[in-house]
Amino acid sequence: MHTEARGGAVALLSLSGIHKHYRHGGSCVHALCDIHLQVDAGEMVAVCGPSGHGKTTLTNVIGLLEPASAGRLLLDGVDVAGLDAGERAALRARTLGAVYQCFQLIPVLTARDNVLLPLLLARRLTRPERADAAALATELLARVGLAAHLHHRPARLDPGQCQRVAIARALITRSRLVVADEPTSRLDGSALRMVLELFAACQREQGTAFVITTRDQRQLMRASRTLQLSDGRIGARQADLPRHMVRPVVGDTVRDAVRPASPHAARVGA
Amino acid sequence: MTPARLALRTVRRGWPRAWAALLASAGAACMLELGAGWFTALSLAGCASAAHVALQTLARRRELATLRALGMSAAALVWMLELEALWITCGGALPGLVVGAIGAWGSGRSIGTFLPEPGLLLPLAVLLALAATCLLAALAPAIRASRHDVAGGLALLPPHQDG
Repeated sequence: MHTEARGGAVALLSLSGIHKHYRHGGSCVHALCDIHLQVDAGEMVAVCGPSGHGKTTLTNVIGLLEPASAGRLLLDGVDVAGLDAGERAALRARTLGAVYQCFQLIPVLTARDNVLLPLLLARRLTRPERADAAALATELLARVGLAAHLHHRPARLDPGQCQRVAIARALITRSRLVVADEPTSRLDGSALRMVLELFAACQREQGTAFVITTRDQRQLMRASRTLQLSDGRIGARQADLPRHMVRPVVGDTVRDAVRPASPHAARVGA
Repeated sequence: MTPARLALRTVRRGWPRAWAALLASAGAACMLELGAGWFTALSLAGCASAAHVALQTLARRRELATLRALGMSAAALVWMLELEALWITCGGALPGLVVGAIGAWGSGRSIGTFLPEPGLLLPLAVLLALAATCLLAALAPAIRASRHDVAGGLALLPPHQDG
């Protein structure tokens, strides 16, 4: 297992020269081309771009669900190239939270049990630990506005509620990095406000970093950096949002919660 | 969430989808209780169990991929699917044993002979044989399911959720 320090500090996530291609019959589809990206603790990096241009592939590669075809990915200082499937799964469970595009809730479990699942799968919890975990799941669901739906199964929740359950599930492990594929696509109004507030609180209080694919302008406004992904490349429109652009758009509660833009300089190379 | 608890919840919620496997194991248990061919009965139960697990793993590819992505090990996934097959087999075998015992008693009376008291030995042996058969039969599809591509499973569109 290889680890790498960068000037004494280790970037939470570092991608250099990442390529990903798929073979379909005789043709080769390049989903990602020469991606360079570094993300530090507490940052929120938003990746935007048209549908089918590699956003989900990028989150899959960062989320260790798919190996890169070429390039180097360091997660929490660990070079994932040399890891076997079990080690990658362990690193993923230890370091990453994930929100998937289609929520991916387990249909036979209640909302609260779905949120608890990553903790329960990680190891056998003692009774007090289990009670603490259940309390944390309840709190997270309350913070995304689902206090009244703790014992509902996904079939009884609408897509927006399912998405909020998936968000709570990604946050319960207090992972250092959360990778989210369009996490607010089904949210609006107060639900969106609560989720953005929760993300900001995680950044501020736990130093959680977020890599989020989104087309939602309100979420882009809150990102430390935005990257434009086009044809699998980080394009020329990549931009650091200046601090003054991080402004509330949905009310005072969000203004209090929004963390100022990250002081980290952009280290994104096209 | 242990694989056993997850398997139990899945079976409790999804038993109507397992009617074919339940019927097959009930029939096999009944046949064994009545002294019909062991090979035929165990083959029936084993095939039903393997087919049930194979179909379930196809139908629930997204769910299984999610469990893997959330940290469930391949071994735990295999164990969960094996336990699901076991619950289904036992759930079908128990009523099958009762029906078989009633059938044996009724046929003994109708032909005027009295069968010896069966006791618990025969039903226990039947149950154990069926359990072992279904565990063996379900092993191959369960292992295959644990090797499915996680990213590919997650990319499948949800059947109902995406409303």
